[in-house]
Amino acid sequence: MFRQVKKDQTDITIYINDQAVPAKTGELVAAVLLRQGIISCHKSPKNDQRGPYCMMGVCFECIINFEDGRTEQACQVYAEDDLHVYLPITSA
Amino acid sequence: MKIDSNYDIIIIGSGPAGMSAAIEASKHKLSVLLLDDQSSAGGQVFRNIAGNQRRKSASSFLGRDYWSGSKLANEFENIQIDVITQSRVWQIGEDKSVYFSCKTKAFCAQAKFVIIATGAMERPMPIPGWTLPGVMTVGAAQTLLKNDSMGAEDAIFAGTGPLFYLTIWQYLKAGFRVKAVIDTAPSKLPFYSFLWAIPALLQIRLLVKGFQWRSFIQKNTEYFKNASSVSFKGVNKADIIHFVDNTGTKKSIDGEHFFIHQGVIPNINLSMATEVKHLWSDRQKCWYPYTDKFGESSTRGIFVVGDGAKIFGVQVAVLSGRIAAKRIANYGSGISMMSTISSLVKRGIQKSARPFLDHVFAPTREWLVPVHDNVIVCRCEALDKAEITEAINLGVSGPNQLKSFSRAGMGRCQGRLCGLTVQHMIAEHNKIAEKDVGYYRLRPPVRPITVGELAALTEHDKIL
Repeated sequence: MFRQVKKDQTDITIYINDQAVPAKTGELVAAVLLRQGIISCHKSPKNDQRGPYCMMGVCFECIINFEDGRTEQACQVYAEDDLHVYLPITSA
Repeated sequence: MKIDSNYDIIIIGSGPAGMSAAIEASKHKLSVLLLDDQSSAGGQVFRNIAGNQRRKSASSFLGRDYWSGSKLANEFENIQIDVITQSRVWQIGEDKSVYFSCKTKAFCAQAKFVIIATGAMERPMPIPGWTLPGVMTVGAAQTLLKNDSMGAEDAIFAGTGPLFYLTIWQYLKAGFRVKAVIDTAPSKLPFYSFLWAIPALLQIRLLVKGFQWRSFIQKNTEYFKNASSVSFKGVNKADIIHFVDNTGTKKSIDGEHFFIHQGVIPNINLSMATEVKHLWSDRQKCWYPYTDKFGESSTRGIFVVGDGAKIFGVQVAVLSGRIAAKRIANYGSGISMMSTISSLVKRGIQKSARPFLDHVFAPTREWLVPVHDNVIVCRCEALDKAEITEAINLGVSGPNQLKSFSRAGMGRCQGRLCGLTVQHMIAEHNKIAEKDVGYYRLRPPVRPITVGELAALTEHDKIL
């Protein structure tokens, strides 16, 4: 399980599928998911589970949906208060 | 957001090379726009250094090499240039127009010179089970440490390379238990690799540091040397790693989080889509853009510096950024050689250890070419070795035809994680040199953008 080096230092709330989870300002959204134990984000065209892999925008395995419907890599978006994200996205 | 219509230089990436180029350019009173996809400067190697500096005592585990970036980052903070963070460049025109998106809006900026400093990425590692959730790269583990001050308890590390040892060392210093370290570096090297150790002695401190990291890891973890045949198994997530240890015995270890690494390669998607000339490195097994000693590519006015030009590490990146900016400041005046000579000499010394490191940490064949038919090659399209082989057997001439036949490389990552694998496979099958196989033809946009973003571009007629 992922954990923060120093005891939880969270200051904001983001919502994963409308469920409130604590996060830190500036934290990568993919990091928030991982700390919640969410290691799968979507399914490949052959239906196998995929999740965060490279954490630097290369692999596109951490793609998730945002409130406005756009799809983004969770490792490229920084957490801010009241952010809503949705997963899994369906394979496209 | 206000963007000037015309800059002297647009720099892409604010890692060590980009920061140092920006600092040098501002000394010469050149106008600079710097674009970076993170929220602050540092690149991957000095990621989040300003943020970590504010609570240095809490992140001392990152070590001296990380904190050595403070000086550069502080100097960078104090120069007067335009910086746009969280922006992603998706096209560079021959006329030095740079197209990028920032927070779902697209922009175009114009410059006289462009410096591409987009750094490195980790080599694709098509081993059995590498797509299972729970398997991540060692670079990913380090990013989470630097950006989010977090790590996985009882993780298992498999692979080799300087970043491999450094990250495990940082994990241990940060207080995480590491369940096992499976080192895949071969213990016996061909004699000629030691010839490269002679120039490497110029960088003896680097070598000593590497040995220190490794012996610290050996003392503090269950450490397996000279391991091979690494694979992962699990349903919907990886829960076991299999490998063969140095005595030839099959081993298995249960786990929840696994990190793999086989070195880094230049991140060439942007430079390739810009259509500058690229060369193949047989020693580093990767493509890199051709650059002259000042960093200028085959296209006049477009420079590539740092690990995106070739893997030489931080110190070389800093010097290359500086040399490129100096060259631009004196462009056409013929005095560049004089003003950069000391940087060029320093850079030569800094480069001296790299050939030895390349030999010691060279990825073995099983990390480059998948061993079993059901190993995924193209992650995005979920194509395995059997499907790629089937397409190759149809008689494809190269990666582009293979792409049309199989869809390999057509997914979201645009071939970043299958391009080299496909190239190795075609080379082996057709018995031709890897450099003659070539690579995918990459085209802009190199980052996904929406039609809406494109349509809203004010200078839209310049794109197509």
